[in-house]
Amino acid sequence: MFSYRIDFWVQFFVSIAVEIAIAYFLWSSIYSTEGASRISGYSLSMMILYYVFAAFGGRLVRGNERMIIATDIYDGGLTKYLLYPVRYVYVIGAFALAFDTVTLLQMAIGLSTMFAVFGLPAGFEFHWMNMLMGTTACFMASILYFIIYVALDFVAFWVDTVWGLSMMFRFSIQFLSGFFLPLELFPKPLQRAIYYTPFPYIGAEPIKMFLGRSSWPQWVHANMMVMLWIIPMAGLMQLLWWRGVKNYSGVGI
Amino acid sequence: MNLARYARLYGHFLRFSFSKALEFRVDFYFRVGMDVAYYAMNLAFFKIIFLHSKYLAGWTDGQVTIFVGAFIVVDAIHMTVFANNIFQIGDLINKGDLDYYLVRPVSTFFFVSFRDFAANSFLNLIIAVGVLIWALARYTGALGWARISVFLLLILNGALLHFLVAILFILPTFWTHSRRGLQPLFWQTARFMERPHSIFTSPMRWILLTILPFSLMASVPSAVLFEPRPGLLIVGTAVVTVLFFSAVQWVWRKGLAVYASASS
Repeated sequence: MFSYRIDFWVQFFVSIAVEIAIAYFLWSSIYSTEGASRISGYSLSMMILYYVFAAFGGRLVRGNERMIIATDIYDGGLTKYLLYPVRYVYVIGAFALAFDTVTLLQMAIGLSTMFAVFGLPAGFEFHWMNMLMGTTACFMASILYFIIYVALDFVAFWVDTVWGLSMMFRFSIQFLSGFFLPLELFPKPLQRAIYYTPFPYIGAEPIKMFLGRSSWPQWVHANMMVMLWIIPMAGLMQLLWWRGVKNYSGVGI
Repeated sequence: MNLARYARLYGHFLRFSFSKALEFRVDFYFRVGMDVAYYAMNLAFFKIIFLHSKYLAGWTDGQVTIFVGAFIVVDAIHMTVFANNIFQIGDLINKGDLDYYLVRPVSTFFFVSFRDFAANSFLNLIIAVGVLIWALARYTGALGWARISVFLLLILNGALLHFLVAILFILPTFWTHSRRGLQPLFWQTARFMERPHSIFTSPMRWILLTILPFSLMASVPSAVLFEPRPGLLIVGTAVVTVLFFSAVQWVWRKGLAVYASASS
């Protein structure tokens, strides 16, 4: 990561800037066309702020999606990890944690720069407690996201390429988690259905905490839901690992 | 004849790509699933927006659906015809593997740009075209055949322009020696293609119509269907495409001049 420092920082901030710019132009156009001051409870400035937190929080939750595991399985690189005295998933988890730590730093720099340059949006009150709630919820969500992502990468034990599967998951989760649109805008029956899945707790709920739209009981509820989803997903991941490693030849494909 | 020779060569690329794709059948299904998810997500995104707004920058639901159909066709053409090739160019330059293509008796640029046809994405292209046809068929306004023909030509031009811009982001590899050049930046900025150009105000709109012409790939072709006087948009698109084609050829030649062969 630090060998390509400029690439790393430029990519991070360009991607964030593009996401926020697109949201800004899109929603400015919609609010001015409708002449509305609020849509689904969001004023224009709060809507833009939603996308600011979605961009930063999403990066924190998703971490480094570079299919390291699938590559290790395909080129035989997994073999060396099997000889380590630490379980493979912990090694990969440590990489993810390191990446999240750097992302947290980028998020702090990015948000403080934005607030310093543009000021706080109308209707938004900055509270450290909201930031703490949002960050911890993102951290919990990143564990769940990591486990699902690892489980999908373990499919590489059986098939020649999992890139398509991984991208399909990424598209679906970004949409159903509320990273593209606040879930409040979705039709009510769809909203109810989505709340039976883990997705809102990966995106929409942590973002609402940053915006100060959640209380402590809601924070507890969201984290409990994430933990409830972690249990079966971790079980699935472990099952795929046990079965997959028996299938692994270690010679690469 | 030269053109016939290149067409024959492309035929060989196609045959080889299809036989290769048949070896990875599971990947084929995953790719179909991935692109269907991408198409569905984009259609749903705008459908949800239209639950809260009657117009999007002056366009109706039906017009925006045609625009979505247009950009997923451009994306599908890119994924099928160009993406694999562009992805590999950085490695060819860095590892010195470009040597093998420089010694062949055909245009190196043609060879590295077209040799890998993603046959496993071909079904996705058919699905994307199906979505566009559906969007055009359900549109209730008047669409003349002349305008539809120009629209379809501009979509193909949009795919070419997408390729030209993408390759301009990878060619700096000749100088930077990084694996991907500026490709990650291209993936980020290419998201501007997925929104109608009329939502952007100046100077952003001007940038997206000229320097980073993502709006010329699908949004402007769609606008040609609905605008009362689309002449300037058509001429502007043609001029920008010619300029980008010339720029790519110029950068490619400059890049080859500094290419230091194996392990450069």
